[in-house]
This record gives sequence, C-alpha cells and structure tokens, in this order.
Amino acid sequence: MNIDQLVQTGRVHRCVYQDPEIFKLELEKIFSATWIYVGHESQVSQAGDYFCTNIASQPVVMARHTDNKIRVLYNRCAHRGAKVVNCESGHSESFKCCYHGWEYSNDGNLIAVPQPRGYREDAVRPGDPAYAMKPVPRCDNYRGFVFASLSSRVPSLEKFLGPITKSFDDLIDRAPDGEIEVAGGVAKHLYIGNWKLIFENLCDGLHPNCVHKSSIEAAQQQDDSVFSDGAGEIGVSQMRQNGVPWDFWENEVGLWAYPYGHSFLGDYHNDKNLSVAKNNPSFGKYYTALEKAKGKIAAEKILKVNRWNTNIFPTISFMSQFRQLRVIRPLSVNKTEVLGYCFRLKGAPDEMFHDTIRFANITNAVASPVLTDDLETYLRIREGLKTKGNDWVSTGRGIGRDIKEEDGGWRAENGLSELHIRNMFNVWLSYLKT
Amino acid sequence: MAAHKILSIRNIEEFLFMEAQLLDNRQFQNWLALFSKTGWYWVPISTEQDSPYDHVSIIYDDRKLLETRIRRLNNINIHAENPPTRTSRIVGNVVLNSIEEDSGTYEVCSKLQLVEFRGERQRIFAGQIIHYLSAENNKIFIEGKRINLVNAEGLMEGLTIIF
Repeated sequence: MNIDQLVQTGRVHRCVYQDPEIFKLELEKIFSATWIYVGHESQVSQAGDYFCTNIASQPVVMARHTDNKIRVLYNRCAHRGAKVVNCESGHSESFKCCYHGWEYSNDGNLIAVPQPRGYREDAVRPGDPAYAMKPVPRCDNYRGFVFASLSSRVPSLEKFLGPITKSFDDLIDRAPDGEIEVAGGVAKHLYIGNWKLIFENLCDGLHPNCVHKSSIEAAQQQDDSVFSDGAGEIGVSQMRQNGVPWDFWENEVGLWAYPYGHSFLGDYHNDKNLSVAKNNPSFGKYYTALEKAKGKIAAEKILKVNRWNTNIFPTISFMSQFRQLRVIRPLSVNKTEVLGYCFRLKGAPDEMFHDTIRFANITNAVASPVLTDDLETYLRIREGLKTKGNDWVSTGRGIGRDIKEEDGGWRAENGLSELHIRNMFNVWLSYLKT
Repeated sequence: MAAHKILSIRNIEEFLFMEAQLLDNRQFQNWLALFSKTGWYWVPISTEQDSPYDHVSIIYDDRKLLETRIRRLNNINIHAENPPTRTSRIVGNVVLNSIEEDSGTYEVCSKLQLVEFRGERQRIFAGQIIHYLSAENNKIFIEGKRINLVNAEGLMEGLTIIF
C-alpha cells in the first residue's frame, strides 16, 4: 500500500501501528530526521557530568565539557566500535573505552591511545576528528531542555517548537528562583504497543472515565479520615479527578495542536482545583515564595497558565503544572519504553517537591493504579489490530470543527476531540513522504 | 516492656507464611487487615533508596492509598486484572534483624521468590522483604513492609500484584 493512502480523512490504516517495515521507516524518516529530546541541562550540571540515552535506537551521550558546553556524542569508540560510556549517568574527567583503552575528553576528542606505534603513524593521532567520538549533527536547547538531531537538515529548534514553547515557559516560570532541575530519579515502564499510542492517549479526554473507572471508583469510595502521610492525599484526589464527568471535558477542557505534531490539553486544572494544590498547605507556602520572588501580579499571571499534558512529537510529553516529563522511546514496532522524570522548582518549599514525587508515583510508576489500566489498553489495541476484519482506525472525533488560531495552531472544538491525533498523523505522513 | 519476649521466630514465620497465602489466594482485604492504622507498603525503585518522599518509587502507599489500591483490585472494571493475575510465592530465610525496645517493633528480613502468570505472560520476581511488625493482644500487625526487588531499577511491564 502506498504511504499516502495510510492517512486519510478521519482514519488511519491499522498498519501504522503494527508493520515492522513502517517502524523502520519511522526510525529513518522521523527519529533520525527531526529534533529529539535528549535531557535537561541540570542532569549534567558540572563539567565532566554525563547522561546516556539513545536517538533512533542509537546510543548517545550528553556530556558537559570543561568549556561548560553541552554536547551530544555518538556513544561509540572510533577504534573497534564498542559503546564507550556504559553507565546511565555519572561524572568522569574523560571517557575510556573498555576494549583497548582509547580515551576521549568530554567533548569527544581522542586524547590518548595505548601503544600508538602499532597504528600507521599518520592514521591515528590524538585530536584527529576522524578518531573522535563524533558529535551528532545538531544540538540545541530551549531554556535548558536539550534536543539533538541526527540530521543537519532540520529547521531551528525554535521554529520546530514554535508556540508550544509556552508550555516549557510555564514549567520554568513557576520556579520562584526561575530555575528548575531534574530530581528524584526515573520511573521506567515498558508497554506492549506502538509508540504513537501514548501520544494519542495523553491528550485523550474521552478515555479516563472508561479506562480508569476502577481507580476512579476505588478512590471515590475511600474514607477520607484514614491516615495519610501525604501519599494518599495526593493519590486519591488525583484518581478522583480523573473521574470528572464527560460534560466537564466537553465544556471546560481545551485541546490545541501545532505544526510539527505538537499538542496540549489545557484549561483542565487551574490551581484552585489542582489535586496537588487544593487545600494543600505546601502549595500555600509555595505561593508565598513565588509572590515574594516575582510580585503579586506576575505570580498570578504565572499560575493562570493551565496546561495539562503537552506532547512534543515524537519524543516527550510533559506536565508543566505537575512538574513531570515522560520520554517516549520506541524499542520496536510493538514495544515502547517510557521514562518519567520529575522537576524540582528552585526556591519552592521541599514539601512541594514531595508532592511532585507523590504525583509521579500515581501517574508514572509501573505499578500505578492508574497507569496499569492504560498499559492494558495498549496491549488490547495491539491484539485487536491483528484482525483483518477492518483495516481502519478512526481519528474523526471533532473533525471539521477545529478552529484556526492566530499563532499558527488549531484549537479543537472541545476537550474530547481527536484533533491532536489527526495533527500528529498529518505530520507523521509528511515526514514519511520526504 | 520486654518486647522481644512476646514473639518467637516461629510466631513470625507463621505470620509471614499466612500473609503469603492470603496474597496468593487473592484475599486482599484480609491482607490489608494485617496492617496497623498507620501501616505503609513500599517497593522502592532502587534497593539503596532511603526515602520514599524525595525519590520516585515503584509503589509507596500510606494506609489511605493502600486501601484504595486494594479496593481497586476488587473492582469489576479493573482492565489490567481482567483476567486476574495468578501468583505463587515462597517466603523463606526469615531472620529477626532487631527489636526496637521503645516501640516494640520487630524488624524482620525474609526472601521472596514469586511467579506471576496472566494471559500469555509469566514473570519471575525475587527480592528481599523487610517487615516492621508489632504485637498487641496476641495479634501481629504490619507497621511497614518494604520489598527490595532484585530488578527494582529494571524496565518492566505494568505491575498489579502485591508482593
């Protein structure tokens, strides 16, 4: 079937989720060809710090050198090809290959080779770029969020992100000191299903009342007087909040989509009904700190931004109000790794960070009473799409009723629209066709 | 009060084996009843994790959250447990680590080997369990339970079972 035919008005062909050949094309035409989130600068705050990840299934290392610059290097020895940096993150003055001891500085330059006489004299010399751990073609950051591209032919990061940068601003500007840092470890999970499903699901307002019914009802039935050290306060109220009626999603929640496939669900929570803020003394303390640092008017303006999940296609989804970020890494057409990170707002009280952790345990932990029902749903999608009885998957909810916005984006008719899915597939198709 | 005179290692072993049986039999409400009113249940994301408050966990439930988690396991709409998971576990190598004289809390260490089966998938979990137990009127209560999985940091699919 022609690629063009896979994405049609209001539907996509089932093979976009399950054909290994399509997945190969995605690695080449999307993951190797656009901006991919690598990490946050706070993960390599000191010279010598490094953080390993991968882009398009290729190992890379984000490293800060003594020049204070952050680089993203292919994590491979120039000699015999072994992966050089093996730990997930850490600190090292240089990178040394375990195989024959070739040693690189943190900017990737070759600095030492044991027994150099054995190589042809003109061939291997420290400093020779041909024998460096090569930097990936493009690396840039938006206010500390580091992105890289395996292709040099990408637009500027600023253009790629466009108006969705406001979501990053929302996350950062909420910090009384104006800075954020990754903290509190990483919550990992694996799901059996295609990587695009999670981007669809995270801005899908229709699913919580079905998928999460068990945790919503269990939380609704919870006796409030039972002892909690904070975990239950945050967890139970968040699960209850997933159960707001469909009318609420339809009338109160907004959904926006942008060029390059990005989207966000907004207006859902304001800080009055936020599970981590409502009647919460730590939020009160935080508000005082924010107001003190920024002034009353600025503080109120900052907290007026109400964004739930922001999807940056094709690698991350984050929650600025809740200080959470998920990295989505496809392992194969039917296997996806998700890494959840938390951010600490500098200048905010410690109790607020504890709430961030509690929220992460409920939304991103592999044993979360909420997440596990999403993962089961992905599995059933994989099973269902094996049938040949119907080749098409519907994406048509709200179609034809999207509103063009002045900033170049679109606003969905309401929070139950599938605008973000259609937008993602339009962009997906344009990548695959190039 | 000399707390260490109340529970013998045999009493403790019997309690742990009974607890394991409740979980394998999916008698979750009965299992919950073993916890004290302020009991907690913790599966850290690394065996070295020293606090559940400033670091994410696989599970960290206070009494309130644990009640909700258990209630959900019995909710008819729980997709992740339809069909339900079956487990079979062995708890052994039971060691009484220490007795906190003031509070009368017993710190008990044991090993867990657990096979889980659901749908097409069978998984094996292993790790160390640390129980914090108290005894009152011949009844044992779980004040806290920590499970250090050998693959705590590892990548895994959704987890609905109770260790």
